[in-house]
Amino acid sequence: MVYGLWSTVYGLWLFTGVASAADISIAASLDRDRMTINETVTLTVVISGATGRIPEPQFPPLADFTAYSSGRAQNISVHNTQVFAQVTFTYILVPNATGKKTIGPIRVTYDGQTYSTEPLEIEVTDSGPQGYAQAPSSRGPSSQPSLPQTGDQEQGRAQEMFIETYVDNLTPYVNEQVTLTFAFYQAVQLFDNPVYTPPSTTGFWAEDMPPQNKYYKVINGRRYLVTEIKTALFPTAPGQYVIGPARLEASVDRIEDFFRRSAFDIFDRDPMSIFRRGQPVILTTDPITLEVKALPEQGRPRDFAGAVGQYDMSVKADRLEVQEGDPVTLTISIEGRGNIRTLSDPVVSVPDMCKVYDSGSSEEVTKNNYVVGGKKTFQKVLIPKSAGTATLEPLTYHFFNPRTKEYGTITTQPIAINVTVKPQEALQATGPVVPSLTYTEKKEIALIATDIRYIKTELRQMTGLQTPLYRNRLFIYAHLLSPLILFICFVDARHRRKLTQDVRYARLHRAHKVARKRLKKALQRLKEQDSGEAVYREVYRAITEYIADRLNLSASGMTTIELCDTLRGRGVSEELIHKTKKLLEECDLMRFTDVKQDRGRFTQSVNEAEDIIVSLERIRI
Amino acid sequence: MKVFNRRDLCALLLTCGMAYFLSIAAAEDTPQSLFARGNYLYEQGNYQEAIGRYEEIIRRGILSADVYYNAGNAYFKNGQLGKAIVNYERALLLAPRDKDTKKNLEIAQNKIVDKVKLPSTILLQRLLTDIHHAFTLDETLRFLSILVVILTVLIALAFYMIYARRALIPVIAFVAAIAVAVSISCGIKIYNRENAQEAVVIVPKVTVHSGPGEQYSVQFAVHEGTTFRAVKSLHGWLEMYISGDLRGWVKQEAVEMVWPVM
Repeated sequence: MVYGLWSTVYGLWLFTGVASAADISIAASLDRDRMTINETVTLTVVISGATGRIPEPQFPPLADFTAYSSGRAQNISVHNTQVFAQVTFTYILVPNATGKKTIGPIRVTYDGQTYSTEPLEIEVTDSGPQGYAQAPSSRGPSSQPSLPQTGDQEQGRAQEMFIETYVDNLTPYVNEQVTLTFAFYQAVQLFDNPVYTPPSTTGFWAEDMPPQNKYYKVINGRRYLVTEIKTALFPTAPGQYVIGPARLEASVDRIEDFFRRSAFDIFDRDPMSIFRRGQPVILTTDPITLEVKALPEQGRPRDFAGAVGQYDMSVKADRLEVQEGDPVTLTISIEGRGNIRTLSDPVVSVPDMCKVYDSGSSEEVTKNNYVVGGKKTFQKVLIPKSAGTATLEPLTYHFFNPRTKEYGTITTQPIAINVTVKPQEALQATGPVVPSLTYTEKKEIALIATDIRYIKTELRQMTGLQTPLYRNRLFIYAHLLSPLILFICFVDARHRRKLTQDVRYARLHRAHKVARKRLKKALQRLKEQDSGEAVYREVYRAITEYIADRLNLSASGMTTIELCDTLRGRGVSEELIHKTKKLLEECDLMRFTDVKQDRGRFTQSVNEAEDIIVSLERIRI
Repeated sequence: MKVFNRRDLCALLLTCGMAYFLSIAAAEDTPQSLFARGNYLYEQGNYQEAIGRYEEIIRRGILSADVYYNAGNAYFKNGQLGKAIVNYERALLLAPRDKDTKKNLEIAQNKIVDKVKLPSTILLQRLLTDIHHAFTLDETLRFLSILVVILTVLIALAFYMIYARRALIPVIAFVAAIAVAVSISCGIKIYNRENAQEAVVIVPKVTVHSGPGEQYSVQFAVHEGTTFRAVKSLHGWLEMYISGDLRGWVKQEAVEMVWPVM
């Protein structure tokens, strides 16, 4: 039909010529005009025009259908510099209700112009001719699959593929295995992997049974690839149960149609069609109703725990000779066919001299030949409390065998465990073997009543009423000392730093001290009956070095006249300058001539020098 | 020749006897003996007499956390909850880290009728408050003195040791921060001691008036053991403050100041 449309559109294009090539045309078609509610219909919309930009079609609300896009195919050709494009949009429609339905009109807008199709009509029926969605009804295990009953038009397609579900037993007992088989028959190539949605199995304990079984089967002369998926179901209670419909979504490859046609038709078809996505097909099965029978009351043992199948049981102890308090591990294995996972714990009755504890269970499920079975192992720890022979009664386990429709009982052999007395030293050395038995449960110490604590029996500290510390004057003054000390430290540190860093400050600071030392030395020399030259040398140095230090000058090479001029320049009184000059000249006279001087005069000169220095110390120069 | 006649002998015996009794009386009067006697009476269940011995020690101007603690216990056993709390509080002022005193004060406070809603505090605030209350005022002042000495030495070193100044500054800042915190604690303690003193209700129930006199309207009533802050006293009435709007005047004889004890 698509190719027919393509031919029509192409013919119209030739007819209208280049002048109308810019116009857009739209055409829509359905692949059938009748369908059942379980089927799908393919809607194809073809939009073509002399443009490279084909717009998307616009649909009216499709209330009666659920639409899925199945892709688009584009064909662009250039003819006499004119571009011509055709885009085919494909949609899968799933009907939501029965009746006569109208689709469309479908519109497309290009350059402000709107183009539309005629409405399409299709009749959706409840039953009648069946297509792909047909599923054979459930059947018994021995029945053969039958082809779906389809209408004439759909017969060929129906034969291409179909699905079915069936169970091996429609009237099982509670907890008896029912094998549900889903089979997919396909005689066509699938575009991609189908999506299988298993049926709902409410009311059943389900056990998957991989792998998928694949084989070929010929039905009505046609060869089908059959894929089977099996699931073991165990009904949990008697009554009527429904296994829901299974669903399979597949995409059918139509490539064989492309080559089936005549070689001369090849130009009459859409050359891009081989790149299309497959045609989607949804298949569903009918539900299956099962009548689950209750287990018979007749012959049911009193301690029957619900095991259905066929089982065997064994029990063994890891040792038969133990000392009292030492644990013995009992391993009970139940093996056979049936729902292994739901097997209940066997009842172990032990003598009073022993205690028994559960130590867990493990399962090994097998699915050989799609029959669920395996082994379930229960472990129990037995602690003999006293010496003697602990004999375990034979274990019994009941099950219902659905094949024989009778209850069966399995019984193990009794086990005798010889328990010897444990030496006292061993008990002390090793401590309790099973902590849980000898562990003393600790409890919080409960306070029965609250009372005040007891009186003090010794008088430890006594003081009289005294002035508080913060009012103690000594305490307050002591704290005031801190800032005072810090201030002194600050000044002293600053002074010391200056002495090392500032030469002028250092000379000024030491000038008087050095001068006094010189004069003291002069007096010392006088006392030692030294020569006048030595005394006057010290006096001269005392005065000149003092003045040089005060003024930060070099003392060496400075003459008396230069010294006096410097003092004058610093504003020293003329009297003091004269006095200084006179004494320095006297010193020069005594140092460099042989003039004899009275020793009394020596002392007087030293005193005069001291007066001069003191006078200079008092003034700022 | 007789050295002593009978009369002299009698006088001598009398003198010795008096001296003996006086020495016993003197021994009975020492704080230690009063304390031991009080403890003995306490153990005999004679709490009233025990209180007398402990109070005698206190009246002599002797401050001892042990005496206040035992006095508190004796008052508690004697059913005088308010007096017990006062003495526990006094014991805590002298020995703020004594666990027995804290526990007994907690037990006594649990028996108070009045429930005073205290403002909610955050963890840091509670931690600082606990540290503040863990030391006596004198302890805090001594610690502050040590910090001041350390701080003085560190600053002096920083003056002289210029090369070490960079290393010293963070240490000085740390010590100074602690010193500031301790100073604040000292300031609060001194302020509380001088101004806002604690008092405890020592009668079963007392009404609180809006002014210092019976003529003023009754605001509310408080029960024995309730502790409050005494703001000021006037004409035998004490202005009290508990929390929030709970403020008023109460008769001074119905309450007892925690400090001073005399």
